[in-house]
Amino acid sequence: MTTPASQPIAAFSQRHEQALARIGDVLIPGNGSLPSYSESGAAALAPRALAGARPVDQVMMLRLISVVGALPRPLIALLLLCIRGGMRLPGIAGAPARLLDLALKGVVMNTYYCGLDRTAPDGDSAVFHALDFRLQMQVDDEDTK
Amino acid sequence: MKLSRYDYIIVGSGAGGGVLAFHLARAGKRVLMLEAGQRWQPRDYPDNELDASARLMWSGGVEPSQDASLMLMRGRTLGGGTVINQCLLDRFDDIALDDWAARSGLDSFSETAMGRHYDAVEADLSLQSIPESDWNGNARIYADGFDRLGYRRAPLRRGQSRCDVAGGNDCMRCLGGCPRASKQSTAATFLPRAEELGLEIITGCHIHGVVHGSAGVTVYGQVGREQVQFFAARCVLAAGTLGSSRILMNSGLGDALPALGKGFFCHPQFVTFARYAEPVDAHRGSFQALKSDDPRFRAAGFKLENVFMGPVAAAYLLPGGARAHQRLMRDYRHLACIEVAVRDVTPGRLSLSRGGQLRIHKSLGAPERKRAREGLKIIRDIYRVTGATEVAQAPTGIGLHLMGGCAQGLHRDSSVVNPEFAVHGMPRLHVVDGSLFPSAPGINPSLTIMALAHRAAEALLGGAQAPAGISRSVPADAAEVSA
Amino acid sequence: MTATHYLDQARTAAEGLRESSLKERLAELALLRQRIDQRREDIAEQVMAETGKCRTDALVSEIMGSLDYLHWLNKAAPAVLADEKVSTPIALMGKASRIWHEALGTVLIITPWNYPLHIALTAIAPAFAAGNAVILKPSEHTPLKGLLESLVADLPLLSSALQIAYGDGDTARALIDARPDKICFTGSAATGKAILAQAAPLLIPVDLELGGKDAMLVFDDVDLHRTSAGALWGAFTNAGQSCTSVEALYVQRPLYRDMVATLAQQLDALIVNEGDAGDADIGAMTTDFQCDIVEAQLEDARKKGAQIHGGGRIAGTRLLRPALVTEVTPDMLLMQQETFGPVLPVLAFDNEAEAIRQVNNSGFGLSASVWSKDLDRAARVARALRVGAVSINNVMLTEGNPALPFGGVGASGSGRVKGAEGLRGMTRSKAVLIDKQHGKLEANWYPYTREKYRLFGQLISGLSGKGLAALLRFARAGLQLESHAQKPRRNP
Repeated sequence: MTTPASQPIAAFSQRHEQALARIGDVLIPGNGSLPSYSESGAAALAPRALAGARPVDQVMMLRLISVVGALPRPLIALLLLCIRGGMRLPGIAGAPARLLDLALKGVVMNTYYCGLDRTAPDGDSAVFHALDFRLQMQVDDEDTK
Repeated sequence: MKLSRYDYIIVGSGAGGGVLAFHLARAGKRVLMLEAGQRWQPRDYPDNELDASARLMWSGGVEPSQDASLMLMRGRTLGGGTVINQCLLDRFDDIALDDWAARSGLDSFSETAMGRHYDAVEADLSLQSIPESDWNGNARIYADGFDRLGYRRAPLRRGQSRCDVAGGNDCMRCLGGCPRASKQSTAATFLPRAEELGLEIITGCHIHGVVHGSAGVTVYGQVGREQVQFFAARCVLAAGTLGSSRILMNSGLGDALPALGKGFFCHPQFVTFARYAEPVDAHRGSFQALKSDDPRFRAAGFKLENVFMGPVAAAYLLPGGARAHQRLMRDYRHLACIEVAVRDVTPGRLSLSRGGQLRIHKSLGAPERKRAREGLKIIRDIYRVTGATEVAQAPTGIGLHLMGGCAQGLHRDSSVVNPEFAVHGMPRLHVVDGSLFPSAPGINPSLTIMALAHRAAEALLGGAQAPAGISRSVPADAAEVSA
Repeated sequence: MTATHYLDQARTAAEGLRESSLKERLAELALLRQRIDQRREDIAEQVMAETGKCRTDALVSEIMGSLDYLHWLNKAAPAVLADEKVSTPIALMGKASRIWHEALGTVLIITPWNYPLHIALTAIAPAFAAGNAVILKPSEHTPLKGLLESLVADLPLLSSALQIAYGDGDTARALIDARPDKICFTGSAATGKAILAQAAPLLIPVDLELGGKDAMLVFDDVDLHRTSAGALWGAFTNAGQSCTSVEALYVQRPLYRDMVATLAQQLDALIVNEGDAGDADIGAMTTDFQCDIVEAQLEDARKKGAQIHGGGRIAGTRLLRPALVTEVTPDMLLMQQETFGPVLPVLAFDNEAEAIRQVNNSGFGLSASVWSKDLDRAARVARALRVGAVSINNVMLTEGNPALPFGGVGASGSGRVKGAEGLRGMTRSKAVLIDKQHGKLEANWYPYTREKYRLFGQLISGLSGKGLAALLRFARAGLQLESHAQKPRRNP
């Protein structure tokens, strides 16, 4: 999907992509069959994933990715750990942690597990290969009339 | 130069707007439908979760409540929520409708009075119960657990026509729109029929507000960057709970309608996964085949749902640190899933920020937490008796079935919409969608929204043009008189 | 009731009003103001129902504008209508001079359909304050039947002084033939001419407030957003059915393109509906024939090459979407005739002199506005414009101040309403000179003699000369004249 130039997310740059990849690698370091987040190249999909978000949220996401992605890896890990702990706080006290979880874990999981990576040897999704996941759907012309 | 003046403008194309448009068009009315999302050919619906979220849903997927305790989801595509839901079409029982009657003061909320409206919409849909032959591993675990623990279950009734699960099709794909046009979304059913009858549809049209006048309603918004306005004798908001409330609030009607945005409900859902030694393949075939049918659950205010989801949603909901999470994901085919869906009783509230952004004030009250805990305990029991090796509870609650905010009722102080489906004091402005619900029913709302749309069509058209085969109830100008 | 009956009754009422004081009349007008204020939502409803205007236009222009005027009138009238002392020349030493501002008697007010309440009230109130009996002939399209009657009920002076004659042009013609003392007409130039022609042989004075083709001149040093918003309001308020609506927007060329783009964007956001709750920007047109005129002018402009952004009539209604017209040429009807609808032609100009020439060439001359950061330039241009009113860096704002006179030049009419001038227009100025009773004869009385003639010569030289010597000459001649005047012609 192309991102309209008027959207804030159009400002998603190489630097944002690298920053997001650093965050993603903390959440998805890879294990044997599953590629790491950066290996999957998923960060490049972020503008496509965020194209439907509200402009204010897009601006916030760009800032958040820049700031968090610039932290040293142990600090990113610590932050994510704090988020997981903070999410359990009830009511408005837990809101910041839950929103950060939605923003960071949300975009990482969305871009990685959507199966749009083409990093398997056969040019297919390495992530879906590792999950052994495939949905089948027979569509013929008769069906879509 | 003549500009069109329609008999009706309908904002939104989901369960409410789609059904209403069909009946109005069939009565010969000139109807314009405005939909914020895009029109899709069935075979072109996104084939992956990322694009489905970004392109078929509001705000790119989920919208958090103010305290982020619930992640809400709503459709933004021609067909609205009916394109991205599971199309489970159940009637409401008297437990739900009696509560509505008490809150609204309308005795038309009863199984008997709603019956003919349900009959009418069901007659226009293909409804199938999922046979045992279509069960996948997840359904078998669910059934096994229920049977062992002595809870009642029932097959799901779904709006579908030719899924051909036996032929190997995986219906989970249809959460991003059904490419076979089998799922009975309004985009596959009522809308094409209405278009044949002359319905005009503009997609990609985001509505900001309405101005109610003495002879008609002006509806304004934008298509892309172009500002647009449309004119009709009457306007029907069918933009869903969040959409219709937002449009009314943004139109400056909050002062005139004290109940606007109040009484917002959803069905909070809490997902629990379990890992089994053998593959479950919960994503295959009819990924949802059964429902709980136990009066004890109904009385306690929850139901257990036999559900599953794609890898993105599963990854978002699975708990744990990186390595544990990755391990669970790698075993995706071994995962089973059941969720508890709570009948919400603590009303939330919708408002607009100064900048016009929608705010959803909705937190989990003590009753919801208690109901969730009871359900989660049974889910763990099911996993225990069926031999799960590991159980994982999602840390995030999901809010589906967004309802209320423009409750139907007799009085302006406690409701927004009168019995004739007109906004109090505004006889030409109507609301026909889930926002009419006076409370959360604890049952999937889609079929009842459709039935209410059928009743609304009768109210709007008056007796002479009542939908075929249906006796009439409301005189033609009742809406004007009572407003 | 026949026209003669109306006039007979009015003359009787005018006689009766002579017994009333200004204070009593103003007290009734203050009560009227209170009633309008109390009933403003009702009144707005009735005005909206008859005119189609949107609620905010009804409230602000019709009701708030009228209340503002009544407020000003109450404060200003005692001074404006008070007997005036004027100086008496030295030659008339010992006498006093006065001007009395007296009622004319009966005033016929003929009002149009665009501001049926405001225009009626701002004519009735000063006429009544000045002590006249009034006959109002409202437009048959917006009679507001019963509204004014109910507002003045229980106000004894006003209810006897005000009669309302409902009807069309025939009614107006009959009333004119019955010889009121003055006619105040607001409406089209064509009707204005007919009224003037009918009144001429009867020697009835007529005030004419006719239409306009009002210009807005924008120099390139203005705030674009505010100026564009002002242009749209000036052009579209009351759906463009104001005699002072902006009907031609002249923009200095460097700003032209940006201004047109801004106007188009702002115009698209304007919401059209009638019977609203204060949330529509532009209401309906009042009459079908005016819709037809507007549409015909736009069609003519389109045929002659104009670009039209917006426009169009919503089927089955009198709602017109506002239109922005560019590529305008002088041969288009909308540059020659009053449009009186939500249409804004935008033209470019290169320099000050050219802009002034274009505006002054329109034949009309009601009002204009000049927009520039350079206030000296704005004032210079404002003085050069042949119009009755100019707003600088604002639009249609002279009408916002009831103390300012309102009226046009050329085809836009003559005479002034509002302000002290408008109030005085409801009076005739009676000149009074007061002398005391005594036995002395005036020097200029008979008999004329050679001696008197010589002394008058000296008196004039003294009057026109300068310095003490001249004054002494004048005084001496005066004294000699006075004593000479007391003597009869010598009869030998």
